[in-house]
Amino acid sequence: MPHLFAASTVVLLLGFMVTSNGCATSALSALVGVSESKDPLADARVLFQRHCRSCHGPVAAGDGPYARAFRTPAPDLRPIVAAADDRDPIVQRILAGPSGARRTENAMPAFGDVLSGREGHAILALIGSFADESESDASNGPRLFRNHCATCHGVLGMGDGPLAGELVPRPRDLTKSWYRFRSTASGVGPRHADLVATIERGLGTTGMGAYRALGRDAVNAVASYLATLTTVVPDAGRGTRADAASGRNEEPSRGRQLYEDARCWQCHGTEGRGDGPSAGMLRDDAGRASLPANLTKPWRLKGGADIDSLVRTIANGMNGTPMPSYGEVFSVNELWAVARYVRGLAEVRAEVPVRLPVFASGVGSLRDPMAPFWREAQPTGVPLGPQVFVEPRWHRPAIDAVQMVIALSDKEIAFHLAWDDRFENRTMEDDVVSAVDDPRQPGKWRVRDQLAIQLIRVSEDGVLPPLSGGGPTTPVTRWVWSAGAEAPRLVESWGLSDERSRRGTDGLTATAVFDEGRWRLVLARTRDDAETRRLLPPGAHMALSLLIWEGSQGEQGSRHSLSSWIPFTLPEY
Amino acid sequence: MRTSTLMFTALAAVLAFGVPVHAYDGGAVADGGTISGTVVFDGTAPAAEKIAVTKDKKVCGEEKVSPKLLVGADGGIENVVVRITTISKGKAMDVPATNPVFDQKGCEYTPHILLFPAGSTIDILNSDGILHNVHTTSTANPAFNQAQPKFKKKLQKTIEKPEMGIKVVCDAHGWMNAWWISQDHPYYALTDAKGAFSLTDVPAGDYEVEFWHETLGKHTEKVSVTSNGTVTLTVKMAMN
Repeated sequence: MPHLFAASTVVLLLGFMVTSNGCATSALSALVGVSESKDPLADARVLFQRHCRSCHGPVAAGDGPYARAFRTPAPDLRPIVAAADDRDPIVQRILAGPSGARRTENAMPAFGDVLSGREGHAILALIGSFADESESDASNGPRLFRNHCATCHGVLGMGDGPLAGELVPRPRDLTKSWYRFRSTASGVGPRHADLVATIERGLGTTGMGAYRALGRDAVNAVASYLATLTTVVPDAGRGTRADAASGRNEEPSRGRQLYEDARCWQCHGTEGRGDGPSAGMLRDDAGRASLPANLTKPWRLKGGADIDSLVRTIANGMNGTPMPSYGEVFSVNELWAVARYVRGLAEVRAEVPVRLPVFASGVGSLRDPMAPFWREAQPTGVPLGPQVFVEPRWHRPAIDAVQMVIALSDKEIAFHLAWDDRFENRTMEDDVVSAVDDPRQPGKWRVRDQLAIQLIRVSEDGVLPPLSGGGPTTPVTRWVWSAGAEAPRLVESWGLSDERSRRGTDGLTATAVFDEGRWRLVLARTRDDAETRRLLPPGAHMALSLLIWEGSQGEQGSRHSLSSWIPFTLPEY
Repeated sequence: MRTSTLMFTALAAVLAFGVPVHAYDGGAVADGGTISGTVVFDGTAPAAEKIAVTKDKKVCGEEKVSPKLLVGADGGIENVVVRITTISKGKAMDVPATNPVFDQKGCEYTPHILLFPAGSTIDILNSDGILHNVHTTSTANPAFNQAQPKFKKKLQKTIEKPEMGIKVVCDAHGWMNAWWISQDHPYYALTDAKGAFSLTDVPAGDYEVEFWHETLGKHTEKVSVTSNGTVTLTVKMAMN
């Protein structure tokens, strides 16, 4: 009887403890074996995810969402740290940026304004631990979760990690939330294989990185651990319609017809740019703004952009979001037809171009962005990355791809730019200024959409200036367009956050058209003009870089995306 | 551990985690009583809120009256769900011959509050020729989010478990919302435009009656029902 009493008391107590939040922490910690002892690398993990992840990736494997946004790709740091006998030079580089000749094309910023030497060393110790871990900890799910997931998702997976408040979208509460990316029916939880796929793939350009570099064994262990936090459906069992491997029978043109009839454009837009009529009003189950995907940018599709992932997403919907399931609406052939149409909308993600060509456009004005010449010209894709050079840094830029053409007619020299933007923001709201100080408040403000071109003359061997723009002795010229503003501004930039207006804006015009989720902008100058010939000398070797601010995301000041310097050569004119 | 210890421990575990155990026994009720009355708004009722229609105006019109709070001229509150909270024996559940119908018409859900016995299959109709989706939030039953484009005129969903208040929204048209009430017994009623309700054939006894409104919240009353007797309640509910 004493055994009976003790056993049932323990069970009752545990029951109370688990169901009343206060004591859950220590009770469950004890149950799942997550060590309560302090993780010596805990602080370094926060710093790394905050400052380094967006380029270098979540385990420093050089696979962050913006690893290739700048001319020099972000490297895999693990062998670099492993090979270094003396870590001091690496820490120096983190704090002061690359020095000497490497300074020019290298995108590595200086973090001395936010990191101390001690913190730099701690980060390197963390990177060292990533390499060690792949050998020893590959099956320890709780330990891997603590090391790689808890910083955002919290030690118990409740979406309350130290970094959670800084990220948009916010990290999930893994114990309660709907899992979105699944091969199961609407309202049903994920399978183990779905969790593995999501962890390995990462979720586009959000804070959830791609963890493929951890290795399949480790990812399996984490997914198995997740099964203790939430309900995971067994892998075997009734599949959904999407699992049927058919698709060969669909007619190619059916996809577009179905996209129209089923009104996918209502949210995703006529051209798939996520700018449908309903786009601004959608909310997820947590009440947060939920933006429909821009289907033309496959690297940002969180559920995966390959055809199988698209079929699954369309068939099963995304639990907890406005994306419904179409499994009971479309036949299997129709599902594949729509998915193939969506796959066909995807654009190729551009690499940083070696140079930009300058086209001769013959006669006539180039100022109209929709003119036939621009429509027929072959644009060059330019990728943009996060502005990580001056505080406040901005690791989640909204616009990361632009299409550019430079042309010279008998009257004008013109720069044509096209980029996707769900919402046309032409106004500045007065109460924006105070909200701007907290970049973590999404969608609560509206500022103008803006774009700037920085121009600089370069030497013939093409040595490019540092990415952060002008410096204390080397200003660059910047043309700034703001949506809704009367005229573009010509400014002189002495650094990313230091610009001063110049006189002589006459002759610089900006004409912008917003259509179907896309801005098309022409910045032009009359060519036979003294100021033009001074800024853009005939025959000169020049370089330009782009800065874009997306108004609906509150991008303002130093919160913008940034491209590398791209060389171009002006003809004699 | 001995088997009996194990079983006791298991039972204790079940009880600690609070698995509710209730079943309803429906049959004939002789000499039952009635609980009826009206639910009125305490104070001056605000005017009905109007919502501007932002898309598909050709089908949806320009403006909608929000069903979130509908108060009649004499103060009666419409769409209050009245139910006996716990009753284990009473009249048989009235299972209708045809499925309950939930329609999307003129970009509004009809009815705004749908009551049905747990286990029913609901016929969800799309009478508009445009895309709607049926997106539920629910705790006892699986929630779902199902698209219903114009060519899918009828969708069927079975709700297995009793649940008091499954919220239904359309993401494509943000003003559209409704509630489904999955009943565990037949003593549920919905107040009409005058705020009136009536629960009949209630076996004699003491009960707790709950009044739920989506905006005004909950209110409970304790009643004693006698055979062939009528309990009349006038319930006041207010904004909190």
